[in-house]
Amino acid sequence: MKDDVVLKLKMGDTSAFEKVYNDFFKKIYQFVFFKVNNPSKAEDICSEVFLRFVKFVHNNDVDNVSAILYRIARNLIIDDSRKNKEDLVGDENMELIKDSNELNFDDKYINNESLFLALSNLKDDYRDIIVMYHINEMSLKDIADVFGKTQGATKTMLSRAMGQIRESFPQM
Amino acid sequence: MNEKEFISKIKSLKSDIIINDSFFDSNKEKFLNCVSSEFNKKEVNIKSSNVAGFISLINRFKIPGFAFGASAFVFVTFGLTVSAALRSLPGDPLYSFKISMENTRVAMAFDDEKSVNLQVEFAGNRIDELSMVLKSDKANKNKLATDLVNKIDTDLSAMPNRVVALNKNKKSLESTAKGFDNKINEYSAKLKNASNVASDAGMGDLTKDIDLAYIKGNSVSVKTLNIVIQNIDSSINNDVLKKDIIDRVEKKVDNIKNVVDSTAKSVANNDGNDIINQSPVIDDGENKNINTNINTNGGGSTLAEQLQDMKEELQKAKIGLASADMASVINNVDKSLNNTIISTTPIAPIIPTTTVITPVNTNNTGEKDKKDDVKMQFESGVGYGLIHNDYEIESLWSNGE
Repeated sequence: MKDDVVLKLKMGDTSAFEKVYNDFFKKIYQFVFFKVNNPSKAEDICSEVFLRFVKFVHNNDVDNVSAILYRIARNLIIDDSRKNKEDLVGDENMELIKDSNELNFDDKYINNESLFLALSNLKDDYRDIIVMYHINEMSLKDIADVFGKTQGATKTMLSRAMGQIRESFPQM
Repeated sequence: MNEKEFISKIKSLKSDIIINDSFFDSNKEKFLNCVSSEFNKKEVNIKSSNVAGFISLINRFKIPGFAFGASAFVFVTFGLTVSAALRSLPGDPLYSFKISMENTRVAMAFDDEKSVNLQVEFAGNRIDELSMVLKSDKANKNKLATDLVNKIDTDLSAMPNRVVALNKNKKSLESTAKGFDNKINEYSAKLKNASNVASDAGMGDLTKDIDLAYIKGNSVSVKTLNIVIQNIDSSINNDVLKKDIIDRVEKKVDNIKNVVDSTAKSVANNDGNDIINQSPVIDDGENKNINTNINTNGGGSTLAEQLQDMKEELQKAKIGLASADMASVINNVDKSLNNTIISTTPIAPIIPTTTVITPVNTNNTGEKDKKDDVKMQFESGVGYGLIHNDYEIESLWSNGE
């Protein structure tokens, strides 16, 4: 069935592209939002991700749709952050991060804001893998395809990323 | 906080990130336009590269050019025709070619499972076409959309019988029913969108038809899942499969509940008259109003309550997973949903009529007469959906009426 979708995409079947859009747009938006923390910036990048996806499918072989979308998204975010570094983390949160000299939160105060800040403070790959695995519920195989690693190496990276974010909450 | 709680905290972050629905829709349109323009370019590229390829072959093998010219023309023309047909909509000249291609693919499927999967996929094509027709500026789009909804309805209704045909192979039966169920979740979202578009365009009857197709799709999925659970090998511990099926059935009841709730709200907003939350009434021919408690095990008197009862029953079944009553719970839900479809039809106000709708006397009336009575009520629009409990709704399904 997966092959059927890829075949339809290669044939330019709009219903197959619509399915990809419906299945992935919200996930890609969440993924981008965690990195740019700005709704309008996230919308712009997401929109561009899907336009580039169309061109990619037109000109290249497609094997893993989700991996391609996430790869495009990661590249666009990197391009964007190069152009405009201050947008990578929203001004408001940057202030909060500066205020908290060390990102140590007491267990009872773990809330969405502190978790978001802790995620923002992780290095890019660690944040990406946590968002992809725990928030976007991607399989390890798909994540491995995005990073171009083996599943074993991806699992190790996820474990390290979780260890890193936990260090922000020493009371746990 | 342990690892599990911490992870669930992380997962909860996604609820904070909400995408703007209007952006989602407008960007989808932009995206699909980009697909069309990008792949139209591709067709031109194929054409030019093919021509170049043929010219080089002619030069290489010194074969008469006209023969290759003719072949190339046929090849490119056929390719372009297929490509255009795949994107055609009802009313377009190539649409019948598209349907013929689909029928050919079904006929040439290697096995029954592949054939059923293709039919499910093609039912999805009709739903996609419905969305596109509604967004199009075709003059007769109301009729085209109504025809499509009828086709969707018929295709989905035929599914249980097709799944039964796979009964010889339990694995195949299970995977097909689950695959169909997954598709129904996807199709439900599309039908909901189509219903919203029709409703915004003031196509009241079409909106009702789409909502009914939505409910029928979900109900048919329960029916196919029921076939799986009836065929579970009791000598093997299948608790995981049973739980999965109950979860799926629960989701279908939720889907129906959502559409019933939203319709009730819209009716209440428009007319100040919340039909769904009223007990349906029937004119029994003696100008007496009779409450029709649709046959559910919970015995609730409104649709919303009855659906809630079904959900609670499913949850109880999940808790008592080892119980042998599992199959009968799903069976009850299946039958209740069949009745729900009938009783959901009067989303439009129930207008007391002077026409007598005679409840069927199961002792004296033949099967054919019963079906004709039901059909008559549907077709005439009289007593829209007011089916007496004695009707055997089962016969409606099996005959695809």
